[in-house]
Amino acid sequence: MNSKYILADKLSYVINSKTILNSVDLAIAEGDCVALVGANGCGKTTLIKLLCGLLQPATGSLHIANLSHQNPAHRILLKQLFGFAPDQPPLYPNDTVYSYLLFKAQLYLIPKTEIPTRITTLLERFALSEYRNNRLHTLSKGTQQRVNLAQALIHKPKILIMDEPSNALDPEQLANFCDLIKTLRQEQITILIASHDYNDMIPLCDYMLRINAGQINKIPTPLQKAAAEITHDQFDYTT
Amino acid sequence: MINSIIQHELRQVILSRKSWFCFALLQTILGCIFNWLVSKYLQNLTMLDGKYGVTEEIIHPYYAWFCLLVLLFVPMITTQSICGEKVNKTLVNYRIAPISAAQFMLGKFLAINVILSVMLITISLAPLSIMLSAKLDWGQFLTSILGAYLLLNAAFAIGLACSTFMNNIARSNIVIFFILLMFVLFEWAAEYAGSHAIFLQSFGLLVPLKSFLAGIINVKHTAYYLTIILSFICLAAWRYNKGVDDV
Repeated sequence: MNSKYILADKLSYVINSKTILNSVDLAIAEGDCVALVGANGCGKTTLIKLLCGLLQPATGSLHIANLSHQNPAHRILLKQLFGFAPDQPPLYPNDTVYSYLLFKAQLYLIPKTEIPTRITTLLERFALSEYRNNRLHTLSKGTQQRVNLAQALIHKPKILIMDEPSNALDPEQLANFCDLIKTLRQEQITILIASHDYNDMIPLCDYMLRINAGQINKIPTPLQKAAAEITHDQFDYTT
Repeated sequence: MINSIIQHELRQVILSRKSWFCFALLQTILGCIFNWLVSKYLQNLTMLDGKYGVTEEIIHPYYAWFCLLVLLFVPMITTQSICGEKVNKTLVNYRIAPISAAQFMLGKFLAINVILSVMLITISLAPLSIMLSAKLDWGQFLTSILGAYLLLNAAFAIGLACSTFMNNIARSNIVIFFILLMFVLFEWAAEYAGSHAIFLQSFGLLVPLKSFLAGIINVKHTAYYLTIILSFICLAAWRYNKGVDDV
């Protein structure tokens, strides 16, 4: 397993003379599930967009699976690796759930014969089967968010990046979302979730990255802390 | 890939009430214009004394009106195509997908091209109805269609390129409108400025159309339209590639 699957080196992003990210270093291992937390406007979405290649860093370098967005030859390969669910679902209001997922599948060049199966699987996984032929603008926000998550997984990405995925989800949907993350973790997908809500993320992630004043700090989840303490106690006991 | 973009764009157009309304409005206005042209021709029939045929008197102005009217819709269509996607935050669908800027632009342009072709076919039914009672000059008829097709494609390419630079729908509509107006006004500006600025006339968007409507296919004019189309599509693709901060 690659311990530096996503590697950012002195990554900075400046917009209108305001430094959003300041010389950030980051290393995420393959298969990790990481929560990106911080207050609103701290730069979570900016970092995510940099990772997805939707923004260009002012300075520094970014490598994902040894590929770089700065290298034009790598761009298409990188895009195949990512699944991205933005905070605002990028849905076309007149499309139906099925036709939207079909369009996304075609954009990712999924073989024609495979598309119906993939869409049906995703519809079942996200409890969207009953909305299959519904126009997207008629759906509730929670359902739209589920379509947003479904579209991010249509091409079976190696890295799944979600921006505020728990927005608009009711408690039941949130529980289903947590189950989904657990399943995806078993599939060895590297997951990065941006959220301003620590509590939702704690049971899901290996560790959290907190963005504050343009800097990133790695903070362990309470479970990790507890595990570390137990290990420490055991160590003390045996010695 | 390009096929999927075209299909998706066409689906958006078909499912949009606004596009059906615009299409119906265009057909109604053109129907009225056609009716007016036919009435005018029949009134002046004795005065014309067989000097001009129906093609010259009806079809020539009919396609000129068509071009003028569609030119008014170009800002709206092209703004919706790219700037609208930026504003609605749906451009990210393309940005994160493994498609190149050229594929994206070609997909968008060809989708508009299909819509334009459908419009041309439907509005050409009226002139074809003349065949029931008179003889058409097929050469002039077909060159008029070709001229309208090339002119409007050039206008759409200009609109698409401008739309990639814009992040606001109202501003994009206004800018595209004025840029197209500038291309149309080159001809008059050249005449007004005098002989030293006569070269500007070559850049006028409507100049080549006149020869097409008169039934002449001029290589220079065809090359002019094709150059405009290619240049602006390349500019649009370049801008799309550069404008990573658009989402």
